[in-house]
Amino acid sequence: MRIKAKEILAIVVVTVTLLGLPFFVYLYDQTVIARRIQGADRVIELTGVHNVGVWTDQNVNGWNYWWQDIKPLPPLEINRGEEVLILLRSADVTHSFSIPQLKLGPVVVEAGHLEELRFTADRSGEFRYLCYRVCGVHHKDMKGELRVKGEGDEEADDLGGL
Amino acid sequence: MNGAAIPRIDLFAKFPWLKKLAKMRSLQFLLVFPNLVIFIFFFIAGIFGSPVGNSNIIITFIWILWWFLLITIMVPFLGRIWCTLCPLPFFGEWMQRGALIKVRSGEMAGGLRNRLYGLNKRWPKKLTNIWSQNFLFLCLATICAPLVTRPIVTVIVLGGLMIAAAVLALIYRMRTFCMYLCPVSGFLSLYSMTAMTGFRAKDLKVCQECKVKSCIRGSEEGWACPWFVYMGKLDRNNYCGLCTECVKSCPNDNITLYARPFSVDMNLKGYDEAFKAFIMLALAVVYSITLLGPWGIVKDWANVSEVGNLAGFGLYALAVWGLSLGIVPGLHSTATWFSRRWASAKEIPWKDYFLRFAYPLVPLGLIAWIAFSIPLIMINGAYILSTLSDPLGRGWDLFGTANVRWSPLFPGAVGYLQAGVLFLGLYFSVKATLKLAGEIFPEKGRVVVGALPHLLLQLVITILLLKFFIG
Amino acid sequence: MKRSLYKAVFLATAVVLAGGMISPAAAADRPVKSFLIEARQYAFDPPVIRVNRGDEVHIRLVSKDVTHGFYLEGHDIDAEVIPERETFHLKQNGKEQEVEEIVFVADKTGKFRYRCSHTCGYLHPFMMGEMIVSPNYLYKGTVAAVILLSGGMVLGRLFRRRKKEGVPP
Repeated sequence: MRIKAKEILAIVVVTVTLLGLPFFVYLYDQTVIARRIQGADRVIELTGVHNVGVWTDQNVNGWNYWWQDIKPLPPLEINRGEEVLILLRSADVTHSFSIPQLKLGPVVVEAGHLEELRFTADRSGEFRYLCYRVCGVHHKDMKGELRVKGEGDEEADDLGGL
Repeated sequence: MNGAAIPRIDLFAKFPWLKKLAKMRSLQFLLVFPNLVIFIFFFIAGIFGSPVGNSNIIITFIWILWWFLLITIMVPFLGRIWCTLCPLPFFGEWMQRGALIKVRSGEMAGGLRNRLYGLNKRWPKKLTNIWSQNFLFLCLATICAPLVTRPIVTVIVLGGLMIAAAVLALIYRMRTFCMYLCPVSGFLSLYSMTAMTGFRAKDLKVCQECKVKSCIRGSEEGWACPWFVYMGKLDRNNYCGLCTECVKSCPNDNITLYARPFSVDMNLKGYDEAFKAFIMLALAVVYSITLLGPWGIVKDWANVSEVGNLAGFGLYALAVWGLSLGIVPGLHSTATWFSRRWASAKEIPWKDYFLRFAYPLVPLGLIAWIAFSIPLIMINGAYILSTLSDPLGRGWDLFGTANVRWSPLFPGAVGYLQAGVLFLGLYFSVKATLKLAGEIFPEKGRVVVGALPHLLLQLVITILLLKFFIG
Repeated sequence: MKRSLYKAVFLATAVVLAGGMISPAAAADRPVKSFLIEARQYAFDPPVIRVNRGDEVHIRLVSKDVTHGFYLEGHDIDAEVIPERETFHLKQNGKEQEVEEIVFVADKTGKFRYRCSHTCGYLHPFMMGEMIVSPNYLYKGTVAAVILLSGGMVLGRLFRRRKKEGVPP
């Protein structure tokens, strides 16, 4: 191949590869998540962060871990009867996710791994999820509320004990 | 000097395919570009992947795999081969040359026979040494704990170097960034002196009679040496980046790759180089104590971004800079003083004597780093396998090895390997000391007596390293 | 110069091997050494423990903050230590069980590092301590070897006879 052709080919390869690389990585990541999600009606992604003691739904990565303000979540809301998938990650140390009142977990979540908890809530109400593996000084704060909304129970709740 | 006294083999004569490879116009591109793609991927992983180092490919592949390969295999055998492959100057050189593969020839100021974009300024004379690199490397060593464990810090540092390389390429001549600023280049230049290969001119008379001097001025066949080297005078590996442009452009086919024994370039030409030797030796000790030691307090001090103990960090930083710029040079100065006295060598200027006997710390330092890197790869190597399959720590499993459980590789052998390697290190530094003394003292008695203080220092350093690693 | 190299290597190997051939003490009179090792981010406390060859070593493990691991080089021991628990999970000689302490005989000499084997944060790969089992033949042998090496090389230089006059060294 003549040198000029080689040069042009090189420029094309460089441009296509460097511009395409971030997209390929993003697309592949999405397919990995999609494969895990299969069949679930509702997906919740939670990441455990030990230095503030929070399960968060924010994306915690190498860039934002050190500066992002991570706050506890408002209550998670799911519906009774739907298949829920909670994808669990840890941003730093080993945590463990558990919803003891629904007899779910504990699922041990190690840093750098993606764990999952797949379930269908069979009763409505308000439940607690928490971290079941001591993970530092803020371990006891790592909890939150899960609200399961049931069909038909709403009226009963509103009317209050009829 | 690499004259006829040193046995060497002409590798281009022995392996003609090697010469063909070196003459290929597209060689550098084919080596550097895949490396660049991997680099950019690492950046993506560092920014968007897990914040935990051993789950992120940027940490495991750079600070465990690359570091081990560099210091244990690339440098002792192939010298500055990393500079041939390095992706940091890719964008800068592309903009400067206006080409990825071809050569743009023409006439330019300074007798250059290529056309380059950019301002092509000369780096300030006062900075044409490796002091800036010494300084930058010490800065990196001060933040070594966050650097080798937190992906984002590696992204910022390496990204910063890449940007600096690009900016400098547009302002200054050729590979000024690589020559005078890159911290990696700093220690590669020193340790490549020990390497068992290197480019040299075959026949210096041919160079003397050459009218075009294409190696340093460039031609239609090749770019002017980006490292400012005139092959007719190249007698050490230090500042040759093995880019192969001279092999392509020499009209007399006078450049070849020689193989030679370990540790033969023994000529240190300035205090900046001697201090690089002191810094690297001191840092081998500091890194070993901090990262491979059992003392949590030192790790806490170094880990300032997580622990926040500023006073402790100050102590740690003081140890890094004090050991490198004060204690180790001080020990060498003391040994030099006694050596010069005992051998009655007052007629030899202090500087020449100091630099001459600083060289043996080069093979010793390199081997101390190899001893440090052995447990790095054998113990922490399992993380390489897991991050290969899950580079971002987000639940991928590309090759099925994502859930490989951490387990060291033959940990029982590590101590024996370190002992063997340090034994060799002392062998080479003693050999060099005796040879260097023999070059200036004709009497055997003076050789031994003059070498003795340096030998004692090298022996003490070796025993200290042994005590730390296997004692 | 080469002859002194061989001499040093031979002597060192002899010292190391000789140390290896001394048989350990019989089970009845084996001294017992107990240690409580606390794991925290990112170190073990005590960082260094010293025992003699043949000692029966007992190690209790506690974690002060997060889940850590305990892997002892050279011995088939890997434990997982969870905070606020009396027992920990131990893998030893192919068996897995919940124990209160690790028990083993220190029959090999030298320096064995114990490392954290469970990701516990940023500096996890560098979290380690040392167990030194005396007498440390590898260390002593190598020190002897390097001293002999340098001495031998100096003597070799002193008594070297040149083959030809005027040949550069």
